[in-house]
Parts: sequence; C-alpha cells; structure tokens
Amino acid sequence: MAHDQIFTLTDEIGVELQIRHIALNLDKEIYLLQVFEENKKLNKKYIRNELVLIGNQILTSRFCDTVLFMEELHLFDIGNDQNKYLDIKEYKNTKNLKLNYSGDSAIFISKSEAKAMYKIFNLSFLGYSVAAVLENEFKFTPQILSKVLHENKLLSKE
Amino acid sequence: MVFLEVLILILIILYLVYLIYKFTEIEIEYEEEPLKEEGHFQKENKEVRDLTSIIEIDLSTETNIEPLYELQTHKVKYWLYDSSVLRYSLEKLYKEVAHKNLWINEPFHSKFYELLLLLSRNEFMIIDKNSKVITMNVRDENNKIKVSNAYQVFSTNEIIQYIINKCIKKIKTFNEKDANNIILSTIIMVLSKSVYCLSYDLSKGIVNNIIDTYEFSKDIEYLLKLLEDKDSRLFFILEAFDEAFIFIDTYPYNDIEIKQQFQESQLFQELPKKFFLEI
Repeated sequence: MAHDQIFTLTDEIGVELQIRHIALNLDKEIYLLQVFEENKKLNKKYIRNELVLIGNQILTSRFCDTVLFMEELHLFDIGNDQNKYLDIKEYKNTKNLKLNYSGDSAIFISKSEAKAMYKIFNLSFLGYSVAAVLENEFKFTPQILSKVLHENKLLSKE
Repeated sequence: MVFLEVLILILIILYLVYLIYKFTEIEIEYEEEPLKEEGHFQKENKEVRDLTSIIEIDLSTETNIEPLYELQTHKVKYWLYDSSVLRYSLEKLYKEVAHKNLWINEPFHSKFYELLLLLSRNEFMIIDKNSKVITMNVRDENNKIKVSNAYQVFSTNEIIQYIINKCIKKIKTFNEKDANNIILSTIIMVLSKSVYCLSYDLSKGIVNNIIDTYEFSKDIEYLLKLLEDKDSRLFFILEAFDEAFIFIDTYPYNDIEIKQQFQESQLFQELPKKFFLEI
C-alpha cells in the first residue's frame, strides 16, 4: 500500500480523468459524480461517466443506469412497479417515491425534489460534450472507485 | 610641478619609515606587574629546563616506540537475519532497533524478526473511526452488479513504525530485558487492534499464537495488561499511538480484495536462517 504519490485517475490509454461531485439533494445526501476528461489545447471537456451516490451507497456505476434513475425520477407517479430504483408510495393522499436500496434508512423523494434533481442533472451537461460518454465510457472497478472516493474525501465522515 | 615634487618626497619618507619599522623590532614596553614571590619565577625556569631535557631524551629513542594498532571494529560480524526480505520501512525498523542497540540476544531477536516478517508479508490495517462505509453496486466485466464495501483504513505497519520511532529513546532508558519486552508488547498491542482481511478474530488468533510461542510470554502479557489499564509507566506508548492517527495518512480499502489477500497470506512460516553480517 505504498502511497507516496497523489492518485490520479487515468483511463486505458493514459488520459487523465477528473471527478466532480454535484449536489442533487443535500438533505437526502444525493450526489452526482461526474467523471470527465479535459483537453486544455482544444479547451473542451468530455464526460466519461456519471454515477449516483446516495448517502453511503453508490447506486449506479454506469451512465445507462444513471440515466434510468433520472428518468424514473422524471416519470414520478406515472412510473410503475417495473421501476428499478424507485417505488411509488402513497402517504396521506400524497404520492412520493421511495428509494429501492439496501441502505439503513428509508429515503422518500417528493415530487418537487424529483423535478429539481432531474433539472440539475440536465444542467450538468452544459459546457461538456456528452458524445464521449456514449462512445468511450470509462468503466470503474471496485478498487479504482474506492481510490477515487478516498481521494475526493468521500470516505471520511468529516 | 612643485606640488608633485612635494608629494613624491612625502612618499619616499613614508617608505623609509616603513623599512625602519620592519627591520628594527621596536619593542613596546608595558608596565610589569611586581612579582609576588621572587622564588616562583626561578622555580618555573627550573621546571621548563627539566621538561626540555625529557623531550630531548625521547626524540633520541624513537626507534623503540611500539606502533599503535587500530581496533578493527568495522570488520566485526554479527549473527543476524537477512533484512532485505523485509519491506523497506520494516528493514529500517529492524536496523534501528536490533542493529543499532545490538539487541540480538535470543529469544528477543527471533521473535522481533518473526513479527516484522509477519507485518511485511501481510496487510494488517486499522479501520479509521471516521470512516464511512460506502456500499458500491458496480457492474463487472460481465455487466453483473457486484456489491462491495469501501473503507478508509490505516496501515498497521506505519502506526507501529511511528510509535517505535517516537518512543525508542524513552524505551532505551529501561533495562535491556524490559526494553525488549516493551518493543514486542507495543507491536502486539497494535496488531491486536488491527484487522486481518477485515476480521478482528483472525488477527487476534495470530497474535495469541505469537505470544504463546515466546519464552517470556508472561512478561508480555503483564505489559499488555499495563497498556490496557493505561498505566502511567507506559503512558508514553499510548500517547504516541493516539498521535499516530493524526499524522499518518489513510488508505482506501475495498473488501473485494479479501479473497486475494487471504490467498496471498503468509501467516505461519518457518523463520529463515541467520547469517554472519556486518552492521
């Protein structure tokens, strides 16, 4: 575990990748982890993957799963029991979405929260090229993802 | 024109004065302090005369002086273990503790080396109290979701090194037997607080095995109890232990690595042979 150099994330051909975490909902601790590549010469940024971190769980590790989660949020109560990540529950005549995950506490998302998260997700593409993620998605292994989380101080409580 | 001539004349006069000063030593006389004893001055003269006569005699008998032999301490060899098989940082610790202090008496030497080998070949870690445990649902090469957990951990090696390097001076103030036992107890204490493959039981089992096979196991157990009870005599070790967590960096650890770690484990192997080596 020799660890004198700072960990930099690189893909298979050695291109350096960066991560930024975007807060989608701070009360429920829902973050979007965006993996992107920056080309300083051409002054362009390319998205290479998007992950969803909720509380202490990485819910999705691939772009297609993240988009599925976002679309389920967008559908809200028009969705059905084929939803993978969110179940539609009703409480005192108001519908909300219950997160379907193996975490400790139950997380409910209201309609407005779902709309806001979906909007932020769409805004996060501004200034970035999305074509790269479809052509050349960066796939994580558990070890590399652990290192990335550690480097971005997402593994500590402080 | 006249001015120039006057200048040259002055320079010549200064030069003459300089020459006179150089070749005739002008002695500046100071006021002499009156001597308290007249006889003292005469005695000194006599002593000086005697010393000079001795030196004269010595010079004449030069051929009878025996040559000095230098101590060949750099060629002394000791019965040591090969430290190059250890990780670099543990090799340094072995040299710092065993070589430097010449604590190479048995059974300490072998037990110490055994512990260093164990630490060198296996990954022991202490889980950070401030660590979040993040569950990751990551798709593998076959696109199946695999669930794993990520932790923030400290390396047990680094903690042990920090404590021993910090406390070695104070440990050396004890007598050799106690100092040896304190070093071993410190390492065993940190090991017992560590996990091996994320299991406390495994590491405790390893630790018990090590203590049982040591000749002075009763002393080690007594010291471990003192450490547990926060006895004032060993409090400096506990202070260094707490301090280590502030200064040492954390590492990430994923429990998908457990299977691999277990396969590569080299827990109980025979100790290698010793060699005659120079320090």
